[in-house]
Amino acid sequence: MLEEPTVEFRRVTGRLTDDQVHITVRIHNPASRTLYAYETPRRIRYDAATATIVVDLNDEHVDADHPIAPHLPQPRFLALEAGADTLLRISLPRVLSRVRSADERQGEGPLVEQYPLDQAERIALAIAVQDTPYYYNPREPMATQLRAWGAQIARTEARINLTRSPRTSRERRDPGSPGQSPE
Amino acid sequence: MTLFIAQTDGTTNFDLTQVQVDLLSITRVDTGLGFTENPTTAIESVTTVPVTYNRTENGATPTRIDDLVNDHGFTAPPHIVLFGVNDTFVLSDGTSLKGNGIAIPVGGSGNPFAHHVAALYDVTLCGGAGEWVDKEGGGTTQNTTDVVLYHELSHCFHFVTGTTASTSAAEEEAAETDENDMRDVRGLPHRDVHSHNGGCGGGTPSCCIVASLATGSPYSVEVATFRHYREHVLRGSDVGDDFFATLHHQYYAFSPEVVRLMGHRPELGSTIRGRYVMPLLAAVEMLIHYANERGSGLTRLLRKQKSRAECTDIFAPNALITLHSGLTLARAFAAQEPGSMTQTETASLAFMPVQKTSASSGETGTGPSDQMDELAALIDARAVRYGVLAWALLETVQLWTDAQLALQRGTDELEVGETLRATIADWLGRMPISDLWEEFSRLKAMAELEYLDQFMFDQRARTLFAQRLAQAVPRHATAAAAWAVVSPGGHHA
Repeated sequence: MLEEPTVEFRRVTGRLTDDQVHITVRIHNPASRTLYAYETPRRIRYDAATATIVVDLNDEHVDADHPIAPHLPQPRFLALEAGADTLLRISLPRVLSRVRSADERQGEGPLVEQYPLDQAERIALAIAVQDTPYYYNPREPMATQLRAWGAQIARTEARINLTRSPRTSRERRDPGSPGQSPE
Repeated sequence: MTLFIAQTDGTTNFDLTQVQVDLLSITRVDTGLGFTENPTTAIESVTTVPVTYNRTENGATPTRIDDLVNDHGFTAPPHIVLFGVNDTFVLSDGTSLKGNGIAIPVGGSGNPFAHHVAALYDVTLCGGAGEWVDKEGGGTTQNTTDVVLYHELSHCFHFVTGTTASTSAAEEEAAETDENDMRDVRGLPHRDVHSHNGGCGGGTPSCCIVASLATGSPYSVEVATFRHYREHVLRGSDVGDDFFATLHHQYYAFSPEVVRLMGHRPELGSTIRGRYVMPLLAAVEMLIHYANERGSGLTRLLRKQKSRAECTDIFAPNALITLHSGLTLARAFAAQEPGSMTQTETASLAFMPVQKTSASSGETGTGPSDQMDELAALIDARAVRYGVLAWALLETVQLWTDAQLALQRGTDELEVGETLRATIADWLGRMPISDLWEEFSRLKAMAELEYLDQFMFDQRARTLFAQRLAQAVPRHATAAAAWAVVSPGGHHA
């Protein structure tokens, strides 16, 4: 098992389409073997005060009592080739619909809060990385396995400029190159 | 009346229509099903549409809706509110509902209601990408929205009737068993109720990337054999599970690079298939047969394998000899025996295409390509020298190759069978000893040893393994010795 997340985040960029925010992350794997990373956003939050999208590509938050634990779907994984850069692409809704809990609602008010992710200026990413692919084992709950598999989490935070400009020819070749670097 | 469909919270509309369609499907399009849209009912500030039902259809699924709507078998339960949501929804902690359904009891974390059960499900099925789950009997099958809703309604039924299973796994199995009733209504394959695996898209291969590419499909018979071996043999005990984890780690130190090479040179796939994957699969089949038949009928199986069309490459002229030579040398290097070729040359020999390795017939070849050199170097550096990998993947093929060669050379079948049983027993007795044995109590060690009975039934294997275990973990010496003298019965020549 990987003892620490060894990947390097080289660039994070974002762009808008009609209904989605597309984030592209250039990840460098300096190791001599292929690594594997979550490719599926599992938890999406928005901090309106700092206009930051917080995306977890891991299941660290899913303990045995979490309501999603029994139904946790298997994420998709991205192979990060040894000694090379790989682009991780994730798509988020332009407007996130968050179901408020009973404690927050106290029996009244809207059940859903809307968050304009397309207004974000920053993004924070936490991505589970491991040196073998994940295989489901029917002997154990999926949540337990995925938490163990994803114990090593690589984190980055970056500014993003979410403009809806048409893609340039350079972006089409290499959508990871323009934009802001992680801080 | 218990069942309601959420329509709006005043600012956000939910997918009322899809939930209605799904309920109709669940009731087998029963005309007795109704939705009271005027007036609606407010539940904790959410506008909902009550469901009514005068059942005229029979079967498990209409009956379940009848019970839920008309409170059969329980009294004064909380309401159940169904939410059809899309893939932009998250729970209060940000957990994505994309490709998921969820039923939350009263007081459950994330429930938007204080006094009622909420069931939310993604009616877009992962934004249109579809959802898969493990299918009964192997492979995967697709979800539909009515199936997902029926699954969640099973949980809801358990919540309101106080019949929730004592463990999460048991509750899930119960809901999946109910779900299969709905799959029958839709004519869909049953879900495997012992697996809770699923996700977005068309399904995950979950096994054996090189074998999948070499055989052309993650669902090929060959890959299914590997998968079965992994799930039903390797992972059946803690030692087996740990063994698999080590094998997995060592295997993935080189297999992604093999795949990369195959991407650069597609014809490498057929070489790998013919030179290694097919012999390995044949060897695995032989070992499973050995375990299942207690060592009997091995030569019959070897003969049968030879007649199969998909095994033509393995039995091409000189192919077995080439494979045998390469493996013998590879094992010598793995054991650090001195002399002869470099390790790369050794591995290269084992993986060279048939037409380039026919030196024994006097033909000349053009030598391995750059990719073949790279492949050989990879196998040398990251496979041959790993103990578990060499034992599990190289030695198994060698066992099989030696036996097939002996048959090819006309050796008496009885002799081939007896030699093969002896070499398999010796190979089993040399199974790598996991560090886990150090942690086991005497009782646990006995249980693990007894698990080995299913394939380590030959006295030679038991004696050798017990000796090695006693040497590696002296405090298990007594348990190992006791286990070794009890024979669970195997083939006797």
